[in-house]
Amino acid sequence: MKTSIDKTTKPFDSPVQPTWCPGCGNFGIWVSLKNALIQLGLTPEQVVIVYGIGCSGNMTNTVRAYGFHALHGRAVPVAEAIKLVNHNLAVIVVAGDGDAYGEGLNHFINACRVNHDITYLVHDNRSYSLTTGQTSPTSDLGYVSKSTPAGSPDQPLNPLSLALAAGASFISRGFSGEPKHLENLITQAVQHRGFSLVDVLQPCVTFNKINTVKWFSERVYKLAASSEIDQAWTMARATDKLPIGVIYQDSRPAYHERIEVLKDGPLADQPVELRNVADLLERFR
Amino acid sequence: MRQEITWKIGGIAGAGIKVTGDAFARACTRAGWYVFDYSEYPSLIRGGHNSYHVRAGVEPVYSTVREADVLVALNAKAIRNHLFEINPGGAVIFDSQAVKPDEVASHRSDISYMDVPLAKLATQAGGQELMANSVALGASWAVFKGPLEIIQNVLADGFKSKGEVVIKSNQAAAQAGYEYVKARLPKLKLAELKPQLGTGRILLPGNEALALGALANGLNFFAGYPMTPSTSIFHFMAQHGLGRGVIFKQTEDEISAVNMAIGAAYAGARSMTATSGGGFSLMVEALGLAGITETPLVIVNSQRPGPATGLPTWTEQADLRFLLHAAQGEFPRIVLAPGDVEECFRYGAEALNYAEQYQTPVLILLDKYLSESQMAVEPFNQKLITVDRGKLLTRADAEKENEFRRYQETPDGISKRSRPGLANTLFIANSDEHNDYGYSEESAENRRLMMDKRFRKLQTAEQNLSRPVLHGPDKADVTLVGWGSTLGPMLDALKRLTELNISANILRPVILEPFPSDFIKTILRQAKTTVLVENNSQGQLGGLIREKTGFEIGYQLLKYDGRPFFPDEIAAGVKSFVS
Repeated sequence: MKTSIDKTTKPFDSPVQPTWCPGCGNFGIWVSLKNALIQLGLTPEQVVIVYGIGCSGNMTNTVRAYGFHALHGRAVPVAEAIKLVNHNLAVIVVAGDGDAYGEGLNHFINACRVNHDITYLVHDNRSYSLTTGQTSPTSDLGYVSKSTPAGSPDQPLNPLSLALAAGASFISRGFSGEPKHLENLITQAVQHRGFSLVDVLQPCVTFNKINTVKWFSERVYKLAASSEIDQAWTMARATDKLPIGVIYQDSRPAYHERIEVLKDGPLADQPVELRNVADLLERFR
Repeated sequence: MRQEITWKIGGIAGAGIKVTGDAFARACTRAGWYVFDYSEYPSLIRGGHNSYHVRAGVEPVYSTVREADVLVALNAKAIRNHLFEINPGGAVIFDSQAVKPDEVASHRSDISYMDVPLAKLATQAGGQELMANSVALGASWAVFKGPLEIIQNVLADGFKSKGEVVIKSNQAAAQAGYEYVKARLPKLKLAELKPQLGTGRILLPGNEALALGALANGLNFFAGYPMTPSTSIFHFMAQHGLGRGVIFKQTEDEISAVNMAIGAAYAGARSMTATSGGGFSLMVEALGLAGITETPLVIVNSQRPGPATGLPTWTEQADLRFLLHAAQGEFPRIVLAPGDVEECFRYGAEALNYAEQYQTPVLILLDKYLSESQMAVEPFNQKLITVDRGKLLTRADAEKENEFRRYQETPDGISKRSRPGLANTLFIANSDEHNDYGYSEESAENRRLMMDKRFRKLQTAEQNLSRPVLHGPDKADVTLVGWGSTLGPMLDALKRLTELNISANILRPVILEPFPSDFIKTILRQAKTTVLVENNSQGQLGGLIREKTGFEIGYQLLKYDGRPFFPDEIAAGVKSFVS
């Protein structure tokens, strides 16, 4: 189903429409993301979105930019490498809470501590939706689903405090029901020097009957500013009320800024040629 | 008598066995002899039992042998383990202060027991007890009547980073050992090899050779996780890639390493990762990702005995079937098995080309024996390698594109490849089945088209990749069939078989996928007696040959005890089959 695209005012609109359920929070996040990219003055050629597997991963096809639809839980390492090889690109990871905090948890933690310059846009609906409704790492305690018919016995994972503990340099939370706020958050995240987490609270209208738009709206409130680390811990751990905005931000070099060879420009733009290894051969005499 | 000498040193881990063994091997190389060395060590850092064997000759030597003319025993265990490997007329060098006389009980009357006060000579020469190894080096060299200057040279280069004082102390220790033995040399039955200086050969293991090949051929991204016996590739890239334009990353696990290698290639780098069987197991899902997104990927698997943790520091070649079939679904791959140090260099370089030409996973099989044994070779001819990036578009190429389709149907199955940042050539690398743009697509027709397109690349590869090698005469009584590191033992076995009046040749595929069925079938049909030689228990290559050609190899020599074949074992086995 191809429609002609207006490449001038809607450069990131692809001819392919999403397949999400009507009312899905993904629609709002999708629009916020595209608007943020326009706000940032980026062209589709400069953007790479690495998608995980899940409903949010089905955003693949619907954004006009370079894309990589990765394996479940493994978008982060792909994105990290893309950024290392061409640091002039804006590299954004789009994944769900299952992909990011379940299958891909090890990579998430390491991305936080290593400070790779990528933006992690996590679609957090506290459910495994594409696989038809299992519990996720962020599901509430007692959450009833196909895999936890007696209610989940697990303490939910808190991605914000985990990110803080892992040393992330930009930690934020958004809400699909506050699209303009989210758009600004994404803009800041992409501009941030280093790893930026945007955990986006959203409903799953089909499978999650607990954490609905109404449920979130009763709890979220906008932060005026980010906090120093001690206060940020408290903000991150809050569960009765859910602050949205930048929870914590600090400034340190992004991982790629320390790589000597990149001082001359992106690796991808440097010539690939034969290297004379005669000096190394000498070591083996 | 064969014009070769063999030497072995044994002791505990942490006693400098590797450094001393390498020094002896290097001295032999600088003496102009052909050298093959081999070390054994258990999976620990201190204690246990380590040994290092060096074989040197005036004619090429391709493998290790069980026996040694001279054993340097740094402790009693070394004597217990290796006394009966010493050739008649040979010697054991030991320090009776470290190894008590009753542990050196004269079980053998056909060798010389040389009590050399290694520790005392070391301290007398002004050094520490640790320099006893340099004393042993000098002592050994005197037994083989090598010129002392060569040892002194090797020590000077080996200890360069430790400074003049250390160099001088070790040289003094070596000289002390040399003179001590020279003054008391017993009558031994040893080959006397004449030194031939200035041959210019280098001595290095397969891993380093492969890493050099990749580095020479434009590799610029390496992500990896350490795992024996692949780790020295990883170290080499970290240390020598620095300052040569290589981005190197030690990742949190192997899954990250392989996905980074794929992301890097997608973004335009020339990338590689290396691991062993357990790490490769973790990388399996990503093989399919590279396959369906048609992203270049090179993975080196240096095999060790499995399954699971297995024998981390020993050798086996039992991952062939695994590498040929790993990952769900069907997609083209190229599987290579270099047979010696020179092929490691060549295929370390070529693999990067294949990956980019065919836009598909290229898997290289090594094993501990090939990865870590050193062989003396001519310095690699860098002129033989070229950078080929296949159909990768340059920035200028992309400017000219119109209606670019990353997965365009083509006669050879290979489409033009773009990368992020270039104009006019947006696309999606999609792990879902996809259409020619890269949009997810589930229709039956598109699926058939894409599968056929991808497999057409394999047919293209088959026409372009090199043939198996037939070593030895075209016509022979016996045809040995093997792959990878069994090449060395098989080559040395040919000579031994000739002495037994059995003519033999070796059929050895290097490229296992796409499998060279026609060539293999032709050779085997003409062969008289065929013998499969493999370091695994299931005869994996034999099974593959039967599957692809219908040909059942007559006999099998299978060794799966963690040790490499010795040429004598192959010769004896063949002899029992034909007589």
